Amino acid sequence: MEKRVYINMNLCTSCRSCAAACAIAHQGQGHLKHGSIQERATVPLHCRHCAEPLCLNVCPQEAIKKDDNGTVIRMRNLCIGCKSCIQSCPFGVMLPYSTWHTSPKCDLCADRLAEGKEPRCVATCTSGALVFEELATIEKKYKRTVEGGRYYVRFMPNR
Amino acid sequence: MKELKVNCSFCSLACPLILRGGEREPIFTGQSLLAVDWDKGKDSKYGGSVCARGNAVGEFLTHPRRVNYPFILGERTNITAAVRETAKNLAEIRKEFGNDSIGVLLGENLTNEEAALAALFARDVLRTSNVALFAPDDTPLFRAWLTRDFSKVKPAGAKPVGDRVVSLIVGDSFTEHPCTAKTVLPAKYGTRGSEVIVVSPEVSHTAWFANRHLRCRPGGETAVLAGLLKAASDKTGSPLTSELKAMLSAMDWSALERLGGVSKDAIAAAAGSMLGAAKVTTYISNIFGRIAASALAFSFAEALTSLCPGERAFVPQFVQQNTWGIYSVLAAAGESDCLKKLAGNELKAIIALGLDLFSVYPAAPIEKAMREKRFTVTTQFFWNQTAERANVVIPAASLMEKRGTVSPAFGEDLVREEVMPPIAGAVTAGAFLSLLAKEMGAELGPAGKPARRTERTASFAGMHAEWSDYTASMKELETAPAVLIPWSEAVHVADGSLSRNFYWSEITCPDAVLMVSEELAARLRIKRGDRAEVSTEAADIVLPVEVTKKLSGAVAAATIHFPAVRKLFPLKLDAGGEIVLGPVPVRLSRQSGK
Repeated sequence: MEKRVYINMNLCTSCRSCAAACAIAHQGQGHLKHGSIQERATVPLHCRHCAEPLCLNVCPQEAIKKDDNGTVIRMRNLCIGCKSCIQSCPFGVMLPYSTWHTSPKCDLCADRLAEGKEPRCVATCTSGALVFEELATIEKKYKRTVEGGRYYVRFMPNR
Repeated sequence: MKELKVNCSFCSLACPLILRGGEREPIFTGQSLLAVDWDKGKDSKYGGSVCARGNAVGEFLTHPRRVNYPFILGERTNITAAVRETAKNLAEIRKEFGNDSIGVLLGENLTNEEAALAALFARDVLRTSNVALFAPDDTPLFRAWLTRDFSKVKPAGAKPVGDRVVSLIVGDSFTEHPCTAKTVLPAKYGTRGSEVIVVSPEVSHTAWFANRHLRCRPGGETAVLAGLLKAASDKTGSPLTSELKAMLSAMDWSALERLGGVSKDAIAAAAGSMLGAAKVTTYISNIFGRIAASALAFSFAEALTSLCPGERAFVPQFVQQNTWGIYSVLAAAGESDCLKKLAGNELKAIIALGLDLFSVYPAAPIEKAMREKRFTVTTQFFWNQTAERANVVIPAASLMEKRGTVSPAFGEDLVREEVMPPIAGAVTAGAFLSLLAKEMGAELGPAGKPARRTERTASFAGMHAEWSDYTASMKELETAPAVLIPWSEAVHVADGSLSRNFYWSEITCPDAVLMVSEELAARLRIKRGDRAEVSTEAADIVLPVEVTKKLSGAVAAATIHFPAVRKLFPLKLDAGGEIVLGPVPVRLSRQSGK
């Protein structure tokens, strides 16, 4: 049962609550940031937990693995901070720690999943843009926006 | 793990939260607070979400830089010595300058009971009427609410058929109160033909979602709302109050178009959309005084909502959580011209409770006033500029750390029973006042349920004068080389003084920045990364420049949550003794010799 975070860009107000919740839960160094596209849209960028993750393939220490739910996780005790995963990520969503000598990775808030809760970014979303649902449901429910790419980015009209 | 259900205390939405703490007793003190969660089980107006600011509640409560001890002239002391020092100085100043030389300024972090106690303290112990709420963004809205009752306005025509929903948003609600999005956006996408109408001069976070963006001139919101009301009234012939009707008929469309910067056609189309909707909700928020003449704008918006024949709701949103509660308590206790005295430097001593003076408009006159004061005592969360300039600093307790009643909205009282104890050393404003009164030889009993003025009157007094003042101030903006408006950052609005201390917001918005429109940048030959000299009648400062597409015309915006930027705004009081906020004329030039 693979669950993923889906961002409905029709609803995102770029209030950054998701990034704040992530940062606060991870000693101020969040795994989620916002990218700006020519001032037209601000997109929350977070790990897609790819079907064939490049970060997993390049890790020299095998510190990154896929768990039973398809979540791509990093084992902190094995990470040597070589940043290969950060360089290999095609979406640029892995960010280095500024203070620790390791490479952090979104684990969909494993501690909360264990309690049967949603990841922090989803739970705190102020507009309902972030949902945490099964992959099959997402693909079915948001067919129009998922087709041809992971996200539908709502550009601000020129005014 | 223990849980405590509280309400966020940063803004007037008061979102429900769950604080999770360790097993140790007493729970939720200091480092035993482990996490903040979102109380989805509790009935929440905004769907159990928490914004970036609310996420920082845990960080705020256990922040390592929170003031944990009283200080006398920067030296750490204990509460007994601090109270003794305060009583001694107040007694000396009273003896030398009289009772009216001392003023009590109240900020947002007080309960209604504490506000009543402060009024009692001023009257019975200090024997003065110098007690005032210092919340210039919110107070005009409260005055408008109390004096202009639109409940008699009859909606125009029959209820429209269908289920079209229209949300009218004045200002930038999604930045200022992000959880509002959870009700507005489902309404927009829920039914065919539903709309979001936004009145704002910038392409803000809210304006991104607008079906109709009435992009007004800076400060033009009031004129656009007057136009909307006039168009709705003309279209329906609805019986408005005679005062309002006379006022609207005296306004001509060309003046409204010029003042507001929005065409009559666009205004009339928006008004038509509202009148034809099955449900209309109006949100108005005046953070950092972005709306010039906000009391008038509030009244026009409320009257316009009342005219709509469908289901309707008028939702004013306040900057701070309990400013309405404190205002209503002080209004019941009697008016005061304390702010006038502060501006006129008549006060020799200030007792500032629950208030960071430097984070409330405008900083420069406050700095001057504080420098000239003989004595200042203040309750503060952090060691900020107000604390630096105060003689005595008392560690403050937040609204999540004290029992009492707060009023986040009109007709809504929130009883705070479940609270965590104050962090080590912090005392509530009420406890401090009781100790101070005792030291000064008086006894302050428990305030009980405070008297509050909440009934509305339909006097409509002063509306014409307000409109004249507004049109005069807009004329000043019209001839100015550029206009400065506030630039909001989601993580900082509502209480810049607190959020500036959060680790998270230091990353998002570390420095003050001047945003300029592309047009203005081209005219000034200024580009991103340059430094600009910014001058208003109040101050001259230098800021780094960002060029943005979100502004147009000769408009600049500055990150107003920094006291350095607040210095640009002059301290102006109106006839009623309230601080006048709004966009200001500004001169900009590129700093030579970078």
